[in-house]
Amino acid sequence: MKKNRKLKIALIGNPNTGKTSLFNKLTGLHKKIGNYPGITVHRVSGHFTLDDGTEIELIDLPGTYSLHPTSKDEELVLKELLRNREGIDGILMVADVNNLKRNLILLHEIQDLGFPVMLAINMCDEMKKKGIKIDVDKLRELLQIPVILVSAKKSKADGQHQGKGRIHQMKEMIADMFKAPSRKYFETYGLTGTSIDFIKPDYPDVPIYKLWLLYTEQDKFGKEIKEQYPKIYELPFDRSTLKRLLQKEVIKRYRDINRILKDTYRIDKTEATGLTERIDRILLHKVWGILIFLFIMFLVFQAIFTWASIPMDWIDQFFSQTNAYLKTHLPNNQLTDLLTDGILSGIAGVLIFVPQITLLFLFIALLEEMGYMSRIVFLMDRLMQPFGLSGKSVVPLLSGTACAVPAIMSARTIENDKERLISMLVTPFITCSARLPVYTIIIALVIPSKDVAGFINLQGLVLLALYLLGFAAALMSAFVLSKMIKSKYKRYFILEMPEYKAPIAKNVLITVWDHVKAFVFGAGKIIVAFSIILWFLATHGPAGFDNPSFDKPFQLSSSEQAAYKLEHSYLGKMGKTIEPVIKPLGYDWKIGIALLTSFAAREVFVSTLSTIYSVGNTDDEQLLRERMANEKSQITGTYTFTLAVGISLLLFYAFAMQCFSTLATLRNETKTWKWPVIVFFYMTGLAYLSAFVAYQLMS
Amino acid sequence: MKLKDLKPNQKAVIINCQEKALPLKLMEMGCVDGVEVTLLNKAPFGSPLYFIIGGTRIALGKEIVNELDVELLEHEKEPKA
Repeated sequence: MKKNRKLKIALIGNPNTGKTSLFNKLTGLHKKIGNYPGITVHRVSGHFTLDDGTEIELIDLPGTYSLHPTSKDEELVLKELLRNREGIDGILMVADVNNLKRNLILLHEIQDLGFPVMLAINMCDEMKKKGIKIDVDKLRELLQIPVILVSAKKSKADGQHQGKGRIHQMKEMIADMFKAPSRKYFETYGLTGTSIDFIKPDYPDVPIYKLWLLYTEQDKFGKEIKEQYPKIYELPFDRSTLKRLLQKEVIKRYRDINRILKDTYRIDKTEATGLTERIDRILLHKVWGILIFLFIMFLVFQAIFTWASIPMDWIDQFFSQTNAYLKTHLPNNQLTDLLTDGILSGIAGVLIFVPQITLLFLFIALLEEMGYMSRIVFLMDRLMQPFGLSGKSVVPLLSGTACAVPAIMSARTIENDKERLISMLVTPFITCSARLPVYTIIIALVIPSKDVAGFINLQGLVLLALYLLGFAAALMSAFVLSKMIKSKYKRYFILEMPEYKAPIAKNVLITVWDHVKAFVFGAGKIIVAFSIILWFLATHGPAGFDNPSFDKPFQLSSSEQAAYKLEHSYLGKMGKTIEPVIKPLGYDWKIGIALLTSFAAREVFVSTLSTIYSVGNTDDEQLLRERMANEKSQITGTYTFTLAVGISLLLFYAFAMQCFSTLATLRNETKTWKWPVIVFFYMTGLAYLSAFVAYQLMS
Repeated sequence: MKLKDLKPNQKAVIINCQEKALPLKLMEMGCVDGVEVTLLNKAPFGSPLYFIIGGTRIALGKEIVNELDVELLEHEKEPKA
C-alpha cells in the first residue's frame, strides 16, 4: 500500500472573495479553530483527502491584499508564508471574478515566492450578469498554473462537467499544481542592482523574492529570522528608497497583469447593473442610512433582549425541574447535591447563554454575508475612531446591554487586532441585563419615587444615569487603552465595500454553530468549574456550620436555618473576612457575601440577600425590600441601606467585574488569562474607588 | 486638486500617487496613477469617503483623501489603467 502523503495548503485571497465559503465547501465541518500565539486572530484549519490518498490540511489565512502588511492580520499571512519550519507546501489562491486584476497582483507575488499555486476564480455565477468573459484555457497557459472557475454559491458544475462537481475538480487540480514547474517573475522587475544582489550568493536556495520581502519587511520579524538570515540585517536600510522601489515593483506587476488580462478577460460595461451603488445611495444616506442602521441595531437588541428570553426560560425551567426531580428521586446526600446544585446548575449557567449567542450571531452572520458589516464601519467610523475603536465596535457595545458574553464574542468581526482587543476589554462596562435586578432593588430602596421637573420620575432618571455611566466608562477606558496599547501600524482607513449579496444559508449556519461551539466547549468548561467551586464554598463550612442548635438552642424556621448555614459556610466566612476591606464603602459582611455570590451572575445578589435576610421564598421582592429597609447595623444600630450605601452599591455594580462567565469568555477569545486578569483588577479597582469616594462624601 | 475636493459623481484620475507617503496597500488595491475615480458618497460625519476607483468600491479615510492628488476628467477622454 502507498504511504499517505500529508500536505499543508494555505487558502489565500483578498477579503470578500468568498474564501471562507470555499473553505467550508472543501472541508465541510471538519475544522479546527485555534489561535495564533500571542494575538487574538483565530487560526482556522480543516482537512480533506485527495483521490490518490494525499491528506491535505487546509489553512484559512486572514484575507489580505498584499504581502506588505498594514495590520497584524496581514503580518500574520506574511509570516506564515515565509516560515521555514513546518511551512506551507502549496497555495490555493481565491480570486473574485469582479476584481481579477487586483487579485492577480497578490497571486503574482506569491508565485515569486516559489510556491506551487493554483487559482480558483470565485463567484463565476455572476459573470453573465456582469458581462464578464474569461478565457480560462488561455489564462492557464499564460499564468502556467491550474486555473478553475468556481462558484461558492452553486456546487453543481455547468454542462461540460456533469456528474463531477467543481469541488472535486478542484481537488484534482490541487494534485496537479505540485507537478507544474514553479516560475519566478521577480528577476525581471529591474530590482537587480539593488542591495539584495549582495546577499543573493549567500542564500542560493532561497527565492530572491523571499529575500526581498525579508529585507523590506525586516522590522516585522523576530529573532528566529534574524538568526537564519543574518546577512539581511547587515544591508543598509533606507525606508524612502525602498518605498520607491516597492512602488516601482507594483506598477511593473500591474503592467504585466494588464498584458495577461488583455487577451483573457473582457468586461462589457453595458451589461453591468451597478445595483450595489444604487443600494448604497440609500443605506449610506446621511439620514436614511443612520435610521436604517439604528433600526437594524434595534432589531438585534430586541432579539437578544426579548426573543432570547423565551428559550432562556425553557432552559431555566428544564433544569430546575430536572434538579427537583433528581432531588426527590436520588438519595439525599452530598453526591446528589454536587450533581444537582453544583454540576447541573453550572451546565444550566452555560446553556442559558446559547439562545443569545445564537440570535446575535445569526444577525451578524447575515449582515456579514450580505455585505452590510462594511457599511456599519463606514457609517460609524468617525464616531468611534476618536476612542480608538472601529466602526464595528458599535455591535459589541450595543449587544453588551443584553449580555457581555455574546457581545465580546461579536468583536471577532473587527479586522484590526488592536481595535478588536479594546472592544472586547471595554464591553463589560456596558450595563447588561444581569445588573438590572440589582439596580431595581437598590433604587427602589434608597431613591425616593418622586417627580423632578414635574414629569420625570427620579428613579427612572437614576437608572438612565447608570446606563449612560456604563457607556461613558466603556468609551473613556477605550480611549485610555488606545493610548496605552502600542501598535506599530499607523491607522489608515482603507476599506473595500463588497457587493451586496443574498446570504448563503449554509455559511450563516456554520458561523452560528462555530460560535456556539466555541462558547460551550471553551468558556463553558471554565464556567462549570467556577460554579462548582462557588457551590462548594456556599454549602460547606467548618464543622458544625449547618447546626444552628449549637449556639441557638431554640427552634428556627427553615429560611432562618438557610441563613444560618450561609453565614457559617466558607463563603460566609469569606464575606466576614472581607468586611474590613468593604467597610469604607459602607458595606457589612452580609453585603460582602452577596458581592461574592454575584460572581455566578450579578442578579444572584438579590437571591443571596433573600437567603441572608431569611425571606424564604426568594421571589418575594416586596418582603425582601421591607427586610432590607429595616435592616440595622449590629454595631452602630443605624439603618444599613442608607442613601450613601445605596449610591455606593450602584456605582460598585456599575463598574465592578463580577461575572466569571465574562472572564471565561475573555479568556477563550484572547487565549490568555492576562487580559481577563487586567480587566478584573481594572474594573473592580475603579468600582472600589468610585464607591469609596461616593460613600465617604455622602455619609 | 485633492481627492477630498471631488464632488459626488464627478470623475477624475489619480495623479502623483507615488510621491506621497501613503501605504503601499493603496497601490496594490489598484489606486495607481491614471486610474479613474468617482466619489459616490460621504459618511454621515464627514469621513470616510466612498469612491469607485478603477472599478473597485473603496472607502478612504481623511488621512488619505487629504493627501491624494487628482485631476478632473474631461468628458471625451477615457484613460484606463
